[in-house]
Amino acid sequence: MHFMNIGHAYENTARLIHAVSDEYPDADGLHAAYRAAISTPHLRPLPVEGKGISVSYEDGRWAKHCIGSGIFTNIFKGAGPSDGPTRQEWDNRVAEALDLIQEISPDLRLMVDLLVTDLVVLNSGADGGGSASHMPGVVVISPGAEWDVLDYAMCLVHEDMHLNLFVADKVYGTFTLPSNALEAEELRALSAVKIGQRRPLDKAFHAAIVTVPLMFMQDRRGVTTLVDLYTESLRDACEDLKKQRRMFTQYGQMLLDELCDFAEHIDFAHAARAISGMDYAGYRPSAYA
Amino acid sequence: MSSSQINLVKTEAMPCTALASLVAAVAEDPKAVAAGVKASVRRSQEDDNNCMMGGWTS
Repeated sequence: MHFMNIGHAYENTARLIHAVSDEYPDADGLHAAYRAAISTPHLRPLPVEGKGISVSYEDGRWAKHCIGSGIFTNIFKGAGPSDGPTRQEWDNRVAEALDLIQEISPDLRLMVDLLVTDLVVLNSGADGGGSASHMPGVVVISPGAEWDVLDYAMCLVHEDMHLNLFVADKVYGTFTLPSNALEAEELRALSAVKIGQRRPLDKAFHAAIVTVPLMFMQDRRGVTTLVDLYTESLRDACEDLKKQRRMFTQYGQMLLDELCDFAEHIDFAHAARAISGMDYAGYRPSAYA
Repeated sequence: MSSSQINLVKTEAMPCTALASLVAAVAEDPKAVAAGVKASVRRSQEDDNNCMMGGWTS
C-alpha cells in the first residue's frame, strides 16, 4: 500500500520539491526543503513558520485566512473563543498524541513530522478534523470533550493521510478528471466512513484510504471499535470504487487495487509492513496523461 | 497564550539509508518524468481547493 509507506511519501515529496524549485533535495534536507517549497505563494497562501508543527487557534493566522477566504466556513463560523488553560490542555494532548503515534509506528510519526506544518486547534461545536489540497501542511482539529489521547492521535494521522494523498495527487495525479467533475452523481461511490452515503469519487476514495491507518492504530492499541465499524463498509466502498476504476489514472489504479486487496484480507501485519517496508517504495512513474 | 511550537523527534523504522536511497533515486528520474511531474503539479494548482472534513456534523 503505497499510500501508507514512508519511503513513498519521501520520494513523492522529493519530486514535488524538484517540480517547484528545480532542485533535488537529499533525505537529510527533505524536511526543510519541503517547507520551503510549499511556502511559495502559488502552492500555499501563507508561508511555513518554524521547523516543527506550529500550533494556532481560532484567532491565529490560518483561522483568519480561512474565514477571509471562505474555507471551512462551517468550522470557523462556530468556533468560540478559547482561553489559556484550554489551549494548554489542547497542546498537552497533541504532544501526548504525537508520542503515542511514535509508539504505535515511528514511520507514521515521521510522516506526520514531514507533512504537518501547521495545526489549528479550536472548538467548533462539532468534533473532527479537516485539511485541504491547496493548504499543504495545514490541519484543523476540533477535539471532542470526551477525546482521549488515541482519538487525538488518530485525528492527526487521519488528516496527515489526506495531506499525503494530496502530495501524491499533485505529483502523479490520481483521477482523470478535475475534482469538480468527480461530484457528478454517476461518479459517486459509497463512503466507508459516512456509511451508506454516496460521495464524490475523490472524497469516497480518501475516506476509504484513511480507514486503513485508523483501524491499524486501534488494532495496535487493542481497540476494535473501528475495525468492527469499517470492515464491511470498507469492502462495500471498495466494490463501488472499483466500478469507477476507469476514472483513476494509472497511479490511482495502483492505489485503488492495493486498497481493495487490503479490504479483502484486513491484515494488520501487512499494514505494518506497508508503512515501513520497501515493497511499496521506489515508485517509478512510467507515463503521464 | 498565542501560538506555540512542538519540537520534532527524529526516529524511523525504515532505515535512514533506505530513505536516503529513495530520495536520491528521484534525481535519476528521466527528464520526461520530471517534466510530467511539473505539469501535474501545475494542473493540480488549477484544480479546486479540495477540502476534506472528517467527523464534522455542522
